[in-house]
Amino acid sequence: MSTEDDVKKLCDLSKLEIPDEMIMETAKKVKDVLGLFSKLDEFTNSDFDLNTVNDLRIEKSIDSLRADTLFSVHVDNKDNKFDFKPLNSKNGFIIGPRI
Amino acid sequence: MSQLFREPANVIINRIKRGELTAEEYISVIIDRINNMDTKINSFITKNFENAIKRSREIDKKIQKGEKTGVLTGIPVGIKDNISVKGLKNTCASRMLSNYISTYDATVIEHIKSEDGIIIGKLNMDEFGMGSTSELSPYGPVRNPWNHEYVAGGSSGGSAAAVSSLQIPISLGSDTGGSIRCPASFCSVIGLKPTYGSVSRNGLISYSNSMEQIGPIARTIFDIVPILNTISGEDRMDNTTVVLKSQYRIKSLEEILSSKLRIGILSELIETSEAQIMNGIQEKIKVLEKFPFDLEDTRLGILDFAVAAYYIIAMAEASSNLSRFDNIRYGYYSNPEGYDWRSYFAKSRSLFGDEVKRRILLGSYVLSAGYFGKYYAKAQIVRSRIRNEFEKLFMKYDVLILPTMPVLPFKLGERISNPVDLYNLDLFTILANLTGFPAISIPAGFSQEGFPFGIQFIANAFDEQKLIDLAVLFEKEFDYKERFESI
Amino acid sequence: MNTKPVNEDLLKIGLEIHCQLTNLNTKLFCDCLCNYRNHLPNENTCPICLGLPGSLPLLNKRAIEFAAMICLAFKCKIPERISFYRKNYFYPDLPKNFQITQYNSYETSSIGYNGLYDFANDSSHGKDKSNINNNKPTIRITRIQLEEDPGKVTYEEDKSSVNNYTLIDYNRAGVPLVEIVTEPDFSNPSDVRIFLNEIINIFEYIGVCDPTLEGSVRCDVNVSLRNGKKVEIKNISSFKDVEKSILYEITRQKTLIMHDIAVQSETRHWDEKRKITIPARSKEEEEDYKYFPEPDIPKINLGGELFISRLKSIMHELPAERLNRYTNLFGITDHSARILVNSKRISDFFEESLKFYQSPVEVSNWIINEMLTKLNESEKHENIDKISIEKLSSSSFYPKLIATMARLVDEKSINRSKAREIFDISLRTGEDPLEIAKKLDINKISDTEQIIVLIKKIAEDQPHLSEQAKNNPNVYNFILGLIMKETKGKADPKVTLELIRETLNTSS
Ligand SMILES: [Zn+2]
Repeated sequence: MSTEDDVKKLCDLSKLEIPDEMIMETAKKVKDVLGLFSKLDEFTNSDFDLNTVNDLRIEKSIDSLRADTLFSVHVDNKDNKFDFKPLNSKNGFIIGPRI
Repeated sequence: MSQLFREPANVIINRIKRGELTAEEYISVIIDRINNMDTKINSFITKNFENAIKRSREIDKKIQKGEKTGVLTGIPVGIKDNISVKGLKNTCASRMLSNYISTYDATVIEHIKSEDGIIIGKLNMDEFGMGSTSELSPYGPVRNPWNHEYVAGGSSGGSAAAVSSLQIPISLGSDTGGSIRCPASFCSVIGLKPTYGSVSRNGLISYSNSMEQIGPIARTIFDIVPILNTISGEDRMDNTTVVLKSQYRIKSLEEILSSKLRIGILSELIETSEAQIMNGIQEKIKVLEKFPFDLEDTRLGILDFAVAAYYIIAMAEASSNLSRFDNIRYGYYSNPEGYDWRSYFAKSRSLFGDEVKRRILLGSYVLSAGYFGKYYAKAQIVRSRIRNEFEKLFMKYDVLILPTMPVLPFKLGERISNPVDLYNLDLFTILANLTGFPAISIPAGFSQEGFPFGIQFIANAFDEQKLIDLAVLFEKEFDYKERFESI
Repeated sequence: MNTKPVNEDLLKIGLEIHCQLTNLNTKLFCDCLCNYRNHLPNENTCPICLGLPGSLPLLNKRAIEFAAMICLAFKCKIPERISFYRKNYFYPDLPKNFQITQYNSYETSSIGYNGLYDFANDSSHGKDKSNINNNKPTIRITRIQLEEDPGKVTYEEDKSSVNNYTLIDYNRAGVPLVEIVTEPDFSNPSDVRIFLNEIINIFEYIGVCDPTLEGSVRCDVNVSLRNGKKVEIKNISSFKDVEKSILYEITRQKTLIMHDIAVQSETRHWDEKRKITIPARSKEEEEDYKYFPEPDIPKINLGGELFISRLKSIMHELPAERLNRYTNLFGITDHSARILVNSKRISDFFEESLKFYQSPVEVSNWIINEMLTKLNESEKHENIDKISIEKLSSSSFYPKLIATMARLVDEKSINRSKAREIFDISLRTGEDPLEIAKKLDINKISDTEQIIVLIKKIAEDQPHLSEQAKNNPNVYNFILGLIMKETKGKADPKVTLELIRETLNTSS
């Protein structure tokens, strides 16, 4: 992963457009960063299973969660009215591209 | 011209509260200062002067009527442009959001408003917080107030530079991997990254949401405390926040010295820094020896993997967090009519900057099915290991000392073309983000050429008070106020 | 049509059922209304469900409880703690371009796992009970997970190629969905139908979802034959089409196999109009969802046994539990019990009626033989006043009526045709059946003293009868006739006959 074709394919998956003249530079920089990432290849530790996610998310009790009541989040006063104007709309619908 | 802008917030607040100064008088001094200064620094993206004046008059009315006012009475606070302020543009220094106006206030903004602080404007930064120089902005680079040809550090460069250049006394930044502390170090101000979960992220536009926190920047620890109290605490709008035990405060010297702080010095990291930083910090530590503290050299293992682990996690999360910017609901003006959704998405998203695009590509690469174990899962393991190491150290020490940055500010454009070099400069700051622990950067002196550098303290989770105590001591011992005369 | 597969096909069917928790008040991560229906487009949205920059998901506690109830209904294990993952993919109906869901590859993150559904205990297939124990498999439930629904994309014109743009409505975005994933344990499309009906029934019982709302319950299917590749069928908008789509897919795969063409592992869409499956775009297959833990939501500690026992205490009785109670405790026949339990409304009506008269067998008879028959008749006739189970359950009058009818039959021993007459009048006029019975004067005389007096009077008036009775038993019936005439049919014939025998024998 760092050839220009790889970058183009990755752009496609990430829904990104990179101009042709930038592809080569992008590929080079991506390669550099992957070089940095490959540092982790030297990290070996048999205590850990790579098929688990050992992230540091905190834990909370279910009782701490929001109750299923209206206006529990957005207090409906006039100062706080949700006033959102979408980019393109028609009869309340947001206009999107063809699918 | 009034020199009021030189005064710290805590002095101003008292004068306004006592009626010796009106909020409106002060805010107009500040506005003049910004108008004069920011053409050189480029720290503001959006100025909110009209509203600020209006707000200052309301505060003055409250005071005239004898009503109680908040801990930030009349103080203009600058906000990094990735924190939502209702009715103001929220660009994240990205062309993707050049027309996006926030529909709601971030929780920290609500708190500042209710403490009678004044939102003075939105501050420049690296696009979406991805950078450590504040050069990666379509609004132009932020310039270091100590030398305008040099970088201010980043990504909260605007937040640090605006405070350092005496435009505003207090600002908010966000810190994902040092984005508050790095520019604080480069600009000679105090920057604090709170413990993960102690400040609400509601309204902060996510870059790497498992690591970032909003935090304050000011010129004195006496100004950090009221803003930190204002923004900290559990928030029903952010499920990852937790209840905090008590308010932070400035303790007397006697009180601070009455408990024997145990301090671990990460000498290895100090020694790998640029010579002037190394010498400067070692000198400061010597001064600490006169206090009744336990000072001890110590070290951290597996640091070799920290930068890689940090960037893998940050980019993975970024690739997902930035997916929502597809320019259908909000963004910059464009029309999807006639486009197939795939090409519309790709075309719209081409307005991300190059660094952001690379991080999105790399982030989705490290998360992809075949590489998840090699990169992301492994990075999380390294992260846990680093956290474990810190936890062990915090059984022995209250605070760890290390430099904020291993280098002095460098010239604009000097390092911009080599991302990996820049990433490696983040080693000292990312540790607090990987572990979630609180960290503060405070001014530690100047190089012979006149460039500032910072010293960093890291404490155990929710031990911000210890960072504040040590900062108070430091500020009493080493005062760089006279330096600001030159600005 | 003979598409019924034979065992040698090794037909394996698995299901993914999506169910909106429509009975919640608010969405999964914000306090917009869970009931998104009947809103103007994009009216039921906020920064969170529109995915505006900076907004964070705020998990709904009751959504977890509802999902856990579904888990209990399917005998799933519920872990100590659950967590959420991001499923990353781009699509215009997804406000964040990722979906917050649960994912079990790296840890047990989902609210339920390792469940079971046993056909032997279900309530819905009284008719083909004979096969229950022969070939109905036990269905393993792989997992049950909680996730968010996306928005809705529509076109202005029916023909999609005419449209230059789409219209997006995010009112549905963030509505809580529970996904039930089964192992491929079905070997018969009709079992799938029975299972889906039972699922709907269970949802109604535990009150988490109103399956009558359009789009509230959706189903994806995967089908494989002879240990071949698995084909997924998506987009099946109605449950009625699930069985059809499976049958179509079996035929399609068989045809391929017959022509020695390998079945591809693929995703196909159900074409509702043409009733066929068509290949989905190949792109969707390669999709790599790049799952990773959602940093904005902490791991949620449910609280173990305490959580589960508390849920059980507030959870509505399940159909299988009711079935058990009706047959074992009430002594209702399996057939009748299934008819009652098969619909929560009818079963609840039954329970309500029992409050007025605790005689389960007679009450169930009245409901099944009389009331449901009436309902069916009214279904067929367009022009008469519709009586619906909804209407009948809406007040306590009708359950009380059924109870009274059962009591009349039980205690006063009126005959069934008269009872029906009373029932009809009462249904029509709303009058109390006891009053009607009085008016019709058909209360049976069960007072033996009164009958004995009558018998003795007849015996005295016609003394020859006692003598004749010794040789001719028909005399008893003759006397009975006289008494019935005298009492206008109010006397209980059985009792009276016995009394006649006794009285004549002792008097002689
Ligand atoms: Zn909402």
